[in-house]
Amino acid sequence: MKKTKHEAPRTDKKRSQLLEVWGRLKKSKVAIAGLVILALLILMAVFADVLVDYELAIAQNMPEKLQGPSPAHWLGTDGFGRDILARIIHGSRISLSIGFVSVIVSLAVGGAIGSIAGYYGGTLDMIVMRFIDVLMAIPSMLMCICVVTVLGPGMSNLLVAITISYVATFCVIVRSSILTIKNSDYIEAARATGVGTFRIILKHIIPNTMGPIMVQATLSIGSVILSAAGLSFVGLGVMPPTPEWGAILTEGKEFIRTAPHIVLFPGIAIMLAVMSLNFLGDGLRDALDPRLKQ
Amino acid sequence: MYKYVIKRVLLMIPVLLGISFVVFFLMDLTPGTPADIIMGDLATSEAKAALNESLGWNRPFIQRFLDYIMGVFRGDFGSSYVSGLPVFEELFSRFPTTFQLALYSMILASLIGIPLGIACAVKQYSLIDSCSTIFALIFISIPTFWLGLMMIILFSVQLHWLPPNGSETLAHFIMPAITCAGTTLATLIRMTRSTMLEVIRQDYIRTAYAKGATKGRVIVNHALQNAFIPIITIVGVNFGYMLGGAVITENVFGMSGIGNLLLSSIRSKDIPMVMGGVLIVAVMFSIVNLLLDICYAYVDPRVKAQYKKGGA
Repeated sequence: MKKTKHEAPRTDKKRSQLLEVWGRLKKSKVAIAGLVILALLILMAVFADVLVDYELAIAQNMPEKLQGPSPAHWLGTDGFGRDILARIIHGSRISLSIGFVSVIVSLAVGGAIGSIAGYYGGTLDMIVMRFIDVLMAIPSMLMCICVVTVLGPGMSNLLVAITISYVATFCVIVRSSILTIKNSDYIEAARATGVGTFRIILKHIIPNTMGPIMVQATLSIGSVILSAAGLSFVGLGVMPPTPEWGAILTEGKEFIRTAPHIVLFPGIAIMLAVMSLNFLGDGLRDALDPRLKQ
Repeated sequence: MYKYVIKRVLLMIPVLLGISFVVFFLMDLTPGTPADIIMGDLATSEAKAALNESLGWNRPFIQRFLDYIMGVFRGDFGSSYVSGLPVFEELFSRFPTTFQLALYSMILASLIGIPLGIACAVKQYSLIDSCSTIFALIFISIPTFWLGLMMIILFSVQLHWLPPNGSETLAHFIMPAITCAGTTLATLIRMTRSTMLEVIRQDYIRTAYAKGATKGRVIVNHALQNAFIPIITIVGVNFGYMLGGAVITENVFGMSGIGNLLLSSIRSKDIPMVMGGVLIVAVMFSIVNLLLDICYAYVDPRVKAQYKKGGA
């Protein structure tokens, strides 16, 4: 991380910056490990149908229930005789998409609110921020539980609940990074040359605030996956037989004494996914830190 | 200083009103009426209608909300729809469990996290540094309920060392406290490390070494004192959150704390209970944050000087 060469051509500034960050990210073994694990998990989600038939993850097969790991069922079977590996592979689709979708949506919504509040300031900012204060003071888990109770359990409602509870976080982050660069000289220069407000936000402010926001987004995907699994655990997540990782784990809770493997493997899957995102986010933070530049 | 405290307490009121409104509104949207919960499925619809009428359920939403708020100002939090007991009594009986769990897990996290973080900073890029960093990242990634279940499998089912659920004795708190401490522990290691790294490079640390102070003395007396604000912030904020009840951990270990109570109340639409619980949680959280700000003044003379100068 110490020496960074400027090999990229200086004419194409945007590209060279990206390359520089990538160059520094590449040097962190932990970040690359995270990236590789994450890529594998995403590939697993994308090609889930090719790997195993969805029927295997859903159809009950009572004679083979509660089997431990064996050549036929690598990770054993659950209380309904379904293959756990098949359920985990198909579950990656659900769990990862909950993570990515709710972070992207809450980043878009929270970011929009935060950038408007931060850019205009004044009364508007005051009103928006007091509202955000209220949202932040309600623990996110309670907020999710309330929203899911209102809307009823299920995948899409779970997405809404988690998205709502993350909007405030992103709003605060985007607002504070906008506040720090709003009064920079280059923004003033843009304004002086007659660039419109919307264009300033979109073209000049957002690209310059991307660093910390990307780090936060990466780390948030991990915590969303954890929250979704947690909500499934208290019975407010996706509905059976949908194979979300948290749901698979929860279904194994009653067999914890006789067949602990049902609880063990989905937990490892969740841990791997969240861990890869944390490794990557941590590496990104270091790679984007201007103080580490030389 | 006291002016500042009063100002902060007054500022809590609009936030609390806002929270009450949001939660009251959300609970209002959930299906079912209070009579359905109080009387169950067997009662006639006439009896239910009469009970709803007497509870004021048929009046407009805003009026019900205002009535509730007025009640709270008089110290009346209402009675639970489910148990019929006064909300305050019920919350009060649950509080010790939640408080103990929060206290033990924060003590555990601090005792391990702070020394490890310091060790990482003092010996940067050493084996202990990279090991703790990876350990911290892995620990944040473990789902709390899974960690709890794994410990139950190992220590209760296999080894019979610890009771799997309940909250009667200290032994009941060991596994839940470890489960809850995980995230804070990991954050503490990383935060202590990065703050200490910044402090260690300051001029006054070099001065202290130059005076001939020993390494241990410099670290404890000079560096740690100046790195304390972010550290107590993390411990404090997490303690505040934990006082709101660790919903999932309490659920895993079958503990009768505030988190479990809130979860079941929300699911059964026990509005007075939910409102009371959420308000208590929010008040606790705000008070802890206020105490933290006061703490800063004692730890950092610069902050104290600000209060004296500004008077607010």
